[in-house]
Amino acid sequence: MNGLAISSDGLTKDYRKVRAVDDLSLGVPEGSVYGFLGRNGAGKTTTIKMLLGLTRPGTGSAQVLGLDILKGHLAILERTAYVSETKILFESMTTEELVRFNRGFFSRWSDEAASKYAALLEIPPRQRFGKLSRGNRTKVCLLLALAQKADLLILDEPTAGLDPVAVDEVLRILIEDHVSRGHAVFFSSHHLAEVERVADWVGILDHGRLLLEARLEDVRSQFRRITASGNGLPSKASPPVLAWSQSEQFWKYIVTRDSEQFATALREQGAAVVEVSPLNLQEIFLELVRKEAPCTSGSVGATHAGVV
Amino acid sequence: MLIHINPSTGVPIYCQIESQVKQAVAAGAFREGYALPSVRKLAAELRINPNTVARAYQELERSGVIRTVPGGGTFVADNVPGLLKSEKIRRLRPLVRQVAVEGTQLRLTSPEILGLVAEELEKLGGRR
Amino acid sequence: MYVWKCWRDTRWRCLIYSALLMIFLAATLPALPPDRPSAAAAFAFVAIVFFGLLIGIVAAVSLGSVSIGEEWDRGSLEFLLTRPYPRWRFLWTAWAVGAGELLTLATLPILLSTVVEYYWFGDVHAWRLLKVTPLLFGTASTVYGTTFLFSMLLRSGRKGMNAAFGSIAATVLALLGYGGGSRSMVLYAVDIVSASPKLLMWLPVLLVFPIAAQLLLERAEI
Repeated sequence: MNGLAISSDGLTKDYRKVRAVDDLSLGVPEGSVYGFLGRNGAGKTTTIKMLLGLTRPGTGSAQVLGLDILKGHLAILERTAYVSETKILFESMTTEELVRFNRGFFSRWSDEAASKYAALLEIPPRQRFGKLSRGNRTKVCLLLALAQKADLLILDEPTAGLDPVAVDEVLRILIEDHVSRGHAVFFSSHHLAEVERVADWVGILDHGRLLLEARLEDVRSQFRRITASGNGLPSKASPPVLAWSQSEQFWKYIVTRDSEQFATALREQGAAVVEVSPLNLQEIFLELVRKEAPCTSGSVGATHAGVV
Repeated sequence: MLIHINPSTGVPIYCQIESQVKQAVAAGAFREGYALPSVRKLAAELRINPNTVARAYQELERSGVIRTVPGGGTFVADNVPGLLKSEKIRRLRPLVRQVAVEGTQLRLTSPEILGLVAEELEKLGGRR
Repeated sequence: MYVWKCWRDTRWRCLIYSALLMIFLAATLPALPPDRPSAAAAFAFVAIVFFGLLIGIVAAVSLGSVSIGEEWDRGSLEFLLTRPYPRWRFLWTAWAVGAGELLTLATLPILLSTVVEYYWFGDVHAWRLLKVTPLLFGTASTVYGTTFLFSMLLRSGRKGMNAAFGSIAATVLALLGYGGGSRSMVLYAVDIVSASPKLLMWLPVLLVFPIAAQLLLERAEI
C-alpha cells in the first residue's frame, strides 16, 4: 500500500467523440478528506464510476484501498460506501426496508449507527422512497452509506439539495465518525465554502483534466494572486505560476509558492507590483476554470489566459 | 464551547482557533489545568477537518500555551514558560506593525492608537 | 436479500395472473367431463389451452420485463451494482425468481383445479390438462426468456416489453400464414401436447436467454 486510499495513473475515458476523463493521475492520501471539484460535465462522476467498476476505463489504471479497480472490484465495493449523484434507490421500499436490504451486503454494518443517523438526520422511517422529497432521499442515501462503516467514503455531491441543518449534521457525522477514525472521504461538491472547511486536499478537474491537486493548507498559505502592471511581463505558465491572464497593461498571476520572490523578480523587470493577495478556494477555482472570451466582456476582459 | 470560527474571513482556521484559545487563556476564562476538548470533539463541534484542530493545538503547544499529557488530554499549561524576551517581541512585532500601519492609514494620531492599545490591555484584566 | 426484493417486485402480478387463471379454469372445467356433449368439451378444452397460453404469455412478458428491466428504467442499477455482489448473481437471481413464478403459474392452477374437481365432482378429468402444462410452460418460458433478454439488450423493461409483444405478434401472424388458419394451429398444438419428451428440449432453450443476458450485463457500462 502506498499510503493512498485512491490512486490513478493516466486514467482516460472516451465517450464517442468526447474525452470525458483525460490522463487523470490523482492521489487521495489515506485518512484525508479530498474535495474533488469541477464544473458540471468536467468528468467527476465518470471518474467515480470508473473507480467503482460501473464503467471501464479506456486506458490507464487505478487503485482503491490498494486494490486494482478491475481485478479487486468486489473487494473494493465491500469496503467502500458510495452515494451517487442521482441518488436513486428502490421507489417502492420504505427507509426501513432499504436498510434491511442493504445491511445484508456489508459485514461491518452497524444497526446502532443506522438508527442513530436516521434520528439525527430526521428521516421518516416508514415512507416509501418514491414519496420522499429530494432532500430526504439524499438523507436516506447518506444513511445507507454512513452506517456501512466503510474504510472509504466516495460521495458524489452529498449535500446537494439538503437544508442547512441537515448539511451541518452530515458534516458533523462525517468528521466525528469517519474522518476522526482515519477513514478517507472522497467527495465532489459545488459548495466550495463547505469544502474549504472540511477538506484537507483538493483536486480540480476541468474537461477531464486535473488542473490542480494540492493540500488545502498549501493553497491557503502559499498560493497568491499577484497583480502587476508593466510591459513584456512573462507569459509562460510554468511553475510556480499556475495560471496567468493579461488585460491591457495589467497582468495577473496565480503562483503556487514563493510569491515574494516572484514579486521581486517582476519588480526587477520594471513592473509595478500592485497587489499580492491570498486566495480562497472559490477564487482559485474560478481562476483556473473560467476562461473568459477575448475582448468580448466589455471594459475588462482577459485577452490571454494560460494554464499549466 | 467558547471557540467559534468563521471560515469566510481570510484568516486561516487554525489561526483563529489558536488566537481564541490564547485570548481565553489571557483573559482568565481558561485557567491553568483547564481541559481542552479532544481534537476529534472540537473538529466535530466546529465542523472542520481534525488536522486543522491538530495544527492549532500543535502551535499552541509549541508556544507553551497548552500541554498534552501522554495518557491523553490537552490542558492549559501551568505557566507560559520563559520564552526569551527577544523571541516574544519578535512574535508580537508583525501584529504591532499591522496596527501601526492601519492606524496611520486611518489618519489616527499616535496618542489615539496607543490609547486603543491601553484600552484593550485593560479589558484583558488581571493576568499580568 | 435480493431474492426477497425480486419477489416483492413481482408478487402482485403473480397473484393476479394466478387468480385469473384459476377463475377461468373454475368456469370451464365443469364442461370437460366425458358425459357432457363432446362439442362443448372440445370447445372448453381449446378455450382452456388458448386462455392458458394467453395468460401465460402476458405473465411471461410482464415478469420478464420487470426484474432487471425495471432497474434500468428507474435508474436504480447504479445502486444495485455498487453492492459487493457479482453482476451475474443479480441477474440469475432475478431470472430464477421470475422463472420459478412462471412455473408455479403454469402448474399450480391446474393442480388446484384437479384437487377441487376431485372433491367436487368425485372424479378427475383435469388430468388431461396436465398434459398441456409442458406446452404452457414451454411457450411461457420462451417468451419470458425473450423478454428478459430484450429488456437487457434495450436497457429498459418497457422497451423490452414492447419488443416482446411485437415479436409475439409477428410469430402469431407467421404461424397463421404458414399454418393456413387457426384450425392448423390447434392441430399443431395438439401435436406438441402429445409429444411430451420434447419437454427436455426446452431446457437448453430456456438457459440461452439468461446466459446471453449475463454476458450483456457483465460488459455493460452504467
